[in-house]
Amino acid sequence: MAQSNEIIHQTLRLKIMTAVCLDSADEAWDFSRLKKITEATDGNLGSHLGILEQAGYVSIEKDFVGKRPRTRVSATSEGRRAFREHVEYLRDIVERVR
Amino acid sequence: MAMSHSEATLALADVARARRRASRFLGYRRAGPHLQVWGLVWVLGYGLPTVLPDIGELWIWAVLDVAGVAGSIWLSRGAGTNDLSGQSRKASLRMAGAFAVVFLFVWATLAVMHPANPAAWRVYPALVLGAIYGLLGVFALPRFLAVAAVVAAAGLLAFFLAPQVLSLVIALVGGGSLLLGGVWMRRF
Repeated sequence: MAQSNEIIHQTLRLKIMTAVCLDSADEAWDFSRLKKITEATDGNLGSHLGILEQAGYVSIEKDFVGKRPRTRVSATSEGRRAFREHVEYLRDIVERVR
Repeated sequence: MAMSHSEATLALADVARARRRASRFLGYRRAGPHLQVWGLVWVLGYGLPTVLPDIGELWIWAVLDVAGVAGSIWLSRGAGTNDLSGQSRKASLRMAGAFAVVFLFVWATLAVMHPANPAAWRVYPALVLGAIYGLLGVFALPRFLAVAAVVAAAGLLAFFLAPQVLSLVIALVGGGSLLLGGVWMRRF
């Protein structure tokens, strides 16, 4: 049976991982876009991204477009695997009760 | 710690909601540049015959349709958008294909039905596009509903109320709404 993942389980981190692990998205996500999708504040999103990066689930690249700083986030293969397993775990729990 | 059934259900609902928002965002980001290319095609296609009546309308459309499809394919290959690769490129290529199918359908229907009224030739693509964008809006990307409404309504109103300026209305209002719609979608 799949295992719960305490890092991904937190609501905002779950939303972040859902977006970056989307099947049709194999490109990096801009910080501002992720903020819109997850409906998080700058500080909140930044700190949870830090936790996911420390766990090796996302990689974060910072660069400049002209003079504007840009932060781009993408899922690592380890992150994709962990997310898949966590969603499987959630589905197992829901299915077991039915 | 084991999770309860209700916690798991709520978490899966969060996943579904975030997936919907992320998919919608990707859809708009991919559709926006294509919409702008075809908006330009419309402005030129409906506008040029008004300023250059000597050049055959069908020739203008033939050239512009080829240019539009080429533009869509160019966008699908990653130019004009950020870092499209793999899956994203395939999705954009499918979108370019869909645009090509729509335009071929319009051409084929007009060739078969051959309406006697020249205004009917001109308004028909606006109605087809309005229907397709309307369906796209209902099923996937709601912002397409607004673009569909403007394109179809402008065409219909001009057809019935001001047929003498039909092309100009479709060029400015229809083409303009595609161009602005593209910007609006890219900013989602």
